[in-house]
Amino acid sequence: MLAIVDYGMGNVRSIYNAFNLLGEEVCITDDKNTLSSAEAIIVPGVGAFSDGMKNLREKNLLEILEKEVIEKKKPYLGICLGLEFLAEKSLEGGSHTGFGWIKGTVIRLQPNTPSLRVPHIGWNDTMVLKKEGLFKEIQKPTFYFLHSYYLKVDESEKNIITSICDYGGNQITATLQKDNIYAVQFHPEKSQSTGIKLLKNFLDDIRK
Amino acid sequence: MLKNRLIPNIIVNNGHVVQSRNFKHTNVVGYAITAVDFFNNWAVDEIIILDVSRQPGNRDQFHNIIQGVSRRSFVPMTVGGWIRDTTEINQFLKEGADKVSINTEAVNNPNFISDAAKMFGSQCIVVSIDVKKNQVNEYEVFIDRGRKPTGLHPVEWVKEVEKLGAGEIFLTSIDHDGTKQGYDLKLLQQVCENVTIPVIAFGGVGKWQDFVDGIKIGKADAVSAANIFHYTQQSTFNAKKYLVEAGLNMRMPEFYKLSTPRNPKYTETY
Amino acid sequence: MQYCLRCCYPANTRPHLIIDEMGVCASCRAFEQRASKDENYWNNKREELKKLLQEYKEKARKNGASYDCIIPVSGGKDSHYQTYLITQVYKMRPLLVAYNHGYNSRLGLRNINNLVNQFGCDLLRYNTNPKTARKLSLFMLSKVGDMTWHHHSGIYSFPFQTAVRYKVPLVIYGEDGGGYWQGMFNLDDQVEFTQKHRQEIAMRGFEPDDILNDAENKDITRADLAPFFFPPDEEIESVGVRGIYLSNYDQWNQIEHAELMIKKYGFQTYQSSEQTFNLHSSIDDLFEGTHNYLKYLKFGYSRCTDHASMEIRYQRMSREEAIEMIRKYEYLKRPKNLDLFLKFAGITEKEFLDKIDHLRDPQIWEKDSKGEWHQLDWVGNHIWDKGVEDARLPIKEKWRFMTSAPYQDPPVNYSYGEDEEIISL
Repeated sequence: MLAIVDYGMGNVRSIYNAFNLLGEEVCITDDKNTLSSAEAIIVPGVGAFSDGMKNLREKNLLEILEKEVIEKKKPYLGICLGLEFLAEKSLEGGSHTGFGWIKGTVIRLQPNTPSLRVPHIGWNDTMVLKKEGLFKEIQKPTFYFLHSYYLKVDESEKNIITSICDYGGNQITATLQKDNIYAVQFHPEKSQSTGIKLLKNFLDDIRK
Repeated sequence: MLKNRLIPNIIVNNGHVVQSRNFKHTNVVGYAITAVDFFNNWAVDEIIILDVSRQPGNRDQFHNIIQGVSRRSFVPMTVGGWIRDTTEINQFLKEGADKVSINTEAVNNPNFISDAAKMFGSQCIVVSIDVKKNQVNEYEVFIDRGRKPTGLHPVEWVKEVEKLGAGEIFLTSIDHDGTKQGYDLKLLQQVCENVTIPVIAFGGVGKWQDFVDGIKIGKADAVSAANIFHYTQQSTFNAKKYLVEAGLNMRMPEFYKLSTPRNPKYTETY
Repeated sequence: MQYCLRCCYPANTRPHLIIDEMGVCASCRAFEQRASKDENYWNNKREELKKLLQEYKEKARKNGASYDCIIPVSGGKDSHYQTYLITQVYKMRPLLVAYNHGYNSRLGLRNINNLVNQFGCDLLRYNTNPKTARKLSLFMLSKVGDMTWHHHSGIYSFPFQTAVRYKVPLVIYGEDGGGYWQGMFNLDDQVEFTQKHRQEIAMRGFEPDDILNDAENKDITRADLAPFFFPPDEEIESVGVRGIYLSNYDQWNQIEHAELMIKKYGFQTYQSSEQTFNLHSSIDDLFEGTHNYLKYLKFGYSRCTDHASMEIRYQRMSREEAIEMIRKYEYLKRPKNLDLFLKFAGITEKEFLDKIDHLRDPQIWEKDSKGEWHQLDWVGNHIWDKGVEDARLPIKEKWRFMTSAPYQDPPVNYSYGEDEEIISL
């Protein structure tokens, strides 16, 4: 059973539909026990970083995530906000603390060409740094991005970045993998066949 | 490289998909679920669904449609029409929408834009702007399904909207809508040159070349159309092919068929 | 129920017919645009069609195909006119493709024979066997209230399978039902065949895969559904298959077509009809009567209303006269044809009616405490509606449906070799 964390934000239905399409058993939950017995935890998210962290905190989900993912090494897939949460802090609307599982800061996109707009909305190519894992058998890594902020990973942890997207000079961390923690900045559940394949690759990788 | 987007607009009037001609909706063409299914098959980058019913009427019917179609759409979906509060935005997002489009309420209460952007993130909030040439032949923003003038010039309003935190603009020319004469390129250019958020062009497409003009001349980031996509086999796929052959940077056209069963019902209302 | 003030259509025409503020329906308005086109417009369209046919003939040649185009036919007046136009006027060599639904009338068979003989065209005909036809009819009767589902599905699928198989890209249909009859499209929209329209309208939302996946399906197999699978998108794209409607390139005055076919090309008609005054339509389909009755049981109107409304738009009939026709042929009438179908299907009338119980439009039909259905409204209640005068069109000519010489069944009990009629198919 795959568990999608419901913290009152984000399009949980889409990611649920995507895993359903792959024939997987999946549920949307905020219950401690369900998360504890899940095969993997998925954290989607669209919206403001601070609101997301606040909701997670209020539902006591921060401790559960810490326990399951960091202690018990359960596979984690973060999508969009779910990736940004991994940072130490985000500068969206002030300065807010994230999970702190990855050394880095979430900062606002500032493309150096005027024709590139913020938010970053639409289909964009990613430059794949690690061919295996999430990108196995994906010839055209083009995905749907929908965000204004991105994670700038600290120099010391740069090796966890598995693909990047250059946006007007901003090196967006498109995907990363640190042991059992996988995260993507784009929306695989809305990237049609390429996105669905990436989700399948995630499942194959964690079940190896 | 960030690609330009091809976006069909599914216009729903009292639960049925219709054609739009200068904002008049008298030709019913079919059901939303079929449109969403085939557009997903035929290489679209996003889908927009708008409720253009004259009266808010039965909102449940529209919510029902969104719930029904979202399970078969694996490209982003923007939902709009009669959205007047953040509770409804939240409801649509829960039902499967990725972005929402607000129009009339944004003019009546501009803080709605900033409140919604703060709650859901700018990238979720599309502000839809309908423009018509008024009696003195100047561009003017109209609201309430094109029925009420606002006295606002589109450029001035769009700059305000961006400041308030909108993520994207959906720009419609009411005069060109359904006329097959192409986009209002002058209007499009004026707006695109005065904002830094993405602009989706809409209104007037009669042939695929109009999409190319919309991007190359109008400077739009994404192109949308409604009526024309119901007329031919593999319509959006062919449009995408045409755009790629014209040298534009698009996501490559591919056919994508869902393997999950459709389970149709004759009396289904969406 | 709201009815058009000009013709006789109700608003519940599936999926929905919008009636504007003047009380005139989208179908009538779409027709206004068609009627407004002048000779110049049609001359240009004919030129366009000529170029299109030539372009696709060359494409077919490049593919290695032997025919120039495909014409889906049934043997009716439209099939005759389409074949006449493509072969005699545009000098093309088409492959005629027919889907045989298994419910042919003798006159229908004679007409399709005539079609092939008159114009010298080859015919590829897919024949569904009666056992399969019965299974499909009964299943789709309860699913969508249409026992002729396989007729429309066949004619909108099999020609495309053929186009891909034979690598002939152009498929030429006659009239665009969505635009010409239902007011979905105007002439200026120049619509073509789409799989989307085929699925949601012609096939009532059901593709063959949906029938195979349906929990209530007990005995319909993949083989039963073979001619209804639409070729995959990749194959359609690689052959460049395209379906067009001749009604976008031709004035499509059906009375004139039929008269030409009767006078010069041997098309034969019945002398009278049980359900409508239009003697030219649907001659080949023996169960058309039951099909029309089902439409009536679902929506409260049927084929006679369609024909009468079209006559009004052509300014050959007044609305009052049209309503009289509907009263005479359609309103509260149960056709004898139903007995024929019940015998074939092996079910009783009660079973038949029970199957479609859940499909009756509640705006038109109400069930009383005894379980009897009552029709709540019909266009006859709206003869004097306010606005009828403003919507009225002046009459230009009298309506007429020319018949051919009476059809004689071939004699039985003849000896082999003498006085026999040559049947080419």
